[in-house]
Amino acid sequence: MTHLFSSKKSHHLIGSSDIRIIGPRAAGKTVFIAALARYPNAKIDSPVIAVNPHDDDDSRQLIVMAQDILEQGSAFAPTPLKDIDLLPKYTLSIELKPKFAIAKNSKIEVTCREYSGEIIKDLRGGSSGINVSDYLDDCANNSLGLLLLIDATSHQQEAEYAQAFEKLEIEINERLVAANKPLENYRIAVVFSKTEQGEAWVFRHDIQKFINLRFFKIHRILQKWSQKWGCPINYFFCSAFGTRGKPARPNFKRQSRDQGGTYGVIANPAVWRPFGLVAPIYWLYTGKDDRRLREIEE
Amino acid sequence: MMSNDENLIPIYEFSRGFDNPHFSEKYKRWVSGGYLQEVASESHPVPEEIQDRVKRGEFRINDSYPPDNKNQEIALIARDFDNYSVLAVATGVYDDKGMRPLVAYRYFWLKKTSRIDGIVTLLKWWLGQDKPCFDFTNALSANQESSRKIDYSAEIYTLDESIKKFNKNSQKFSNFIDQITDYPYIFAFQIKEVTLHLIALHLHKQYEIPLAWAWNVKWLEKSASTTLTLIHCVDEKTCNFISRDVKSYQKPIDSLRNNKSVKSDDSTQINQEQPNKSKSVSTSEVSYTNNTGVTDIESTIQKIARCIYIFNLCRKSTSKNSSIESKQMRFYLYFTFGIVSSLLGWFTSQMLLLGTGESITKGPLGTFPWLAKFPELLMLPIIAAFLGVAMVVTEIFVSNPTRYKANRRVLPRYLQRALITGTIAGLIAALLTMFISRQGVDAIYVRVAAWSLIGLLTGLGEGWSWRSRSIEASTKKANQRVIKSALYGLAAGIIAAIAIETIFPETGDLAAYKEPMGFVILGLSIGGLLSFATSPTYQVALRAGQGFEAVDPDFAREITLLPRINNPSLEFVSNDDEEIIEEGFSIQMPSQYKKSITIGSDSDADIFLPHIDPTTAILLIDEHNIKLKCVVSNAVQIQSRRIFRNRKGITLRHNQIITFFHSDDDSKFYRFVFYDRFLDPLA
Repeated sequence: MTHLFSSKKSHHLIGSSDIRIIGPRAAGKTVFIAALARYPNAKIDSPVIAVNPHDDDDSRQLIVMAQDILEQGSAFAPTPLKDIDLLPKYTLSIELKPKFAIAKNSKIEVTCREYSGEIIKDLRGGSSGINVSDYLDDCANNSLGLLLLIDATSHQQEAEYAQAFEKLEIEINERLVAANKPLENYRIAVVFSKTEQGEAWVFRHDIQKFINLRFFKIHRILQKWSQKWGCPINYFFCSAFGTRGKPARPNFKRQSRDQGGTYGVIANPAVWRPFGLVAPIYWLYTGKDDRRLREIEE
Repeated sequence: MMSNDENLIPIYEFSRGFDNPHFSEKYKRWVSGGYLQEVASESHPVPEEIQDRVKRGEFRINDSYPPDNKNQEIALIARDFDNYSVLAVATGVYDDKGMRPLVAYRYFWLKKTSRIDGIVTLLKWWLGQDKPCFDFTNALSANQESSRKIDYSAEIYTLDESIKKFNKNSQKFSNFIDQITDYPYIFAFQIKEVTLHLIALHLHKQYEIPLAWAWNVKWLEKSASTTLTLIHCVDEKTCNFISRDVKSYQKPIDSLRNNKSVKSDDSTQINQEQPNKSKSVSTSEVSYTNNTGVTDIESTIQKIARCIYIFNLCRKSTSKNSSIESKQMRFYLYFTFGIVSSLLGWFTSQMLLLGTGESITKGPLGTFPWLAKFPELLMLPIIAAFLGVAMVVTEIFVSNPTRYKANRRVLPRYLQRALITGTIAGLIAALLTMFISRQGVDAIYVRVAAWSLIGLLTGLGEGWSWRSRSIEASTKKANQRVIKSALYGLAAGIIAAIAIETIFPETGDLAAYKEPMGFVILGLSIGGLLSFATSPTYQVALRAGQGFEAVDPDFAREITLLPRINNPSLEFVSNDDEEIIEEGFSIQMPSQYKKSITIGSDSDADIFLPHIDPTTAILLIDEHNIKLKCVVSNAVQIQSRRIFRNRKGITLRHNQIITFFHSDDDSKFYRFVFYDRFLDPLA
């Protein structure tokens, strides 16, 4: 009877565990991972039981930085252009409650890497001095999941991102075909960060409408991508800083804003509670869209 | 002039590249528009060796921890390698996206000879030039303006000079040097950059460790901190951060050097004290290991044996004191039929899926890819159908064990129903299994759900089959019986599923037998429990015989003196309205009755028999048995045995004749036959 009465063991889901995060400068890539790794002030009824970063140097550094910088109301530095082998890898294990009370908890383990936002410029034909080819090799060879992180308030630069993603598709396609890897196994999650910002917040229940109105070009490019590869693409809202108070207002102190988006820091770190971070990771990992993870608390 | 030239050395420089630096109107300062190359705005081609080290991050400060911008702080990282000396001057700048901090570097380097102390030469020159550091404007103009301000030839300082200077002050440094036992050595107390260099140089000369140090830094990247020897931090917080980073990389500075008693000093404490601030990661995952081989088999056998023992105990406890052998017979019949049918079902489905003989991998149905992928779709309906049929056949057989011809006549009709119910149950169970297992639910719950469904519907099928033939069909009891067998079936499914999941290991030698054994247990428990469900004990009755000769009420002298039943819980099987007991009538005993049923001539007696003692005997209805307790000695006879007064009571058995003698006349009596109506349904 050991099985029945022992404490709930979690059931390790099998999936694609390597994820690459690509997005423009200051879209919130580092903060996305840091907030995920910290998973602060989680609600008890949240479907996510815990997010545990592995005890390796990279993850530990990220956690210390999240505590020392984000939780002090300061901003992370932009991720530097490092050689690909110096680029940190963060491994997180995420434990989720089952959909049915009787089932076991499920657990996923993902390794993610984020590339500095300068890569977008390089993809559009510029040169930032990084070896983009190395980055793309890493992306194509080691991952089956791509997380495109876009500032939800950056629709004015949409055309440039679309152009970069178009190139990204060609580059990865080339590499996958050369390595004889099936394209349809790839998954692409498009995640809009900073959804707590009013202009995105109002669309929180209708991501389709949001995309059609604000990010139509990206949507079209990605649709083409998806058709060409036969791979699934999914869209998500997230906010690494979340909201505070009732009625909900952004837990955000704005530093500046421009065409590329809105930039700021956490306003009240004591009530820092991100949302929507696990949903894209879970989808990239399992291919299943868990509605519970998409829920946004108001 | 000549001597002057000999004493001078050219200094070169490069900077970290920034994309589109521009003046921010909002913040009234220059900001970066993104990173560019690590090596940019070079005044002279930068040697590969230097470029490599820069790209490998040996000079890199964590960009989130730049030198304080408000106080114009500067951090220095100096390295001597190959024939070069490099001094990196780091300052804090901002990014255009919300004033994110980052580090700007201006690197100065020179090509040295063996006699030159390159770093001191660079340092003295840099201090003499009023500490030039990174500036967006001069990076833009590619050193055109700055070249005018800065003199790129430096006065040479030799190693000898440096060593002399160190020796002169060695007394001052000795305390500090004694503390340095491992490198990289990290500390946070005030020190001048030149002093730091002299100590580093001394260590370099004495212990042949690299000459590389950082001064006034916050958090260095690991690529830098682990390759330096002396690191001077701005504050203790970052000192701890770096200490933790380099902890596993630290090497003793000299293995031969005796560890002198370390004086308690701030700096040593910093080095030793490495509080673990990082979020603790729970690694308390208990891995589930399975013993394989012999122990595996042994433990499984033990578990099975224990289960059978428990099952037997249950059976014994329920059939304890049971006088009816048929009950045990029924139990074994159901039991065997259950096992045989589920095994047959499993076997059939395997034959259909995998085939027999040579084509063992492909049966007639194994070619369907979706079946091969999901064999439960075939297996569960077949097994459920077999089980259903077996239970109904058993039920029919047990109902009329002596009338096999009649049984054969009615059988096909019920078989058809059982087949259909079973198949449907199996199909639903299979689909349920398919659905649930996709949700990532644990196997045990999937099995419990599927099997309980099979059990439920098998029980229901059996119950219905009985109900449609029973003479009690319309009574409340019949419905109860149907519900009961359905519930028992459900319980059987759950028990079997849990049993198989608990006693069988996931892996090991026995894992392959898990499935057939599982179905054996399913059949066993369904059979076993259904035999209890259909247990006929409530159907016992007393049939009035001799002594109850019909009396025309009109001729009765006193109606009150006729034998009658006085208790609404008691009734006749055939006629509900009657009260008077006549020959041939059967008094149905209630299945549950807390109080005792009294038999006697007392007017309040439940079964009123005139002429016998006021309370002659008491009938006690136990859960499964009826006991007769004699109150008056010698007044009752069971079969041919006169019963004396007894307290415990005698359990009545099928077909026993119970005789109540008149109290005044031993030759006159009332006779009942006690019978289990189930064995004689048409009685």
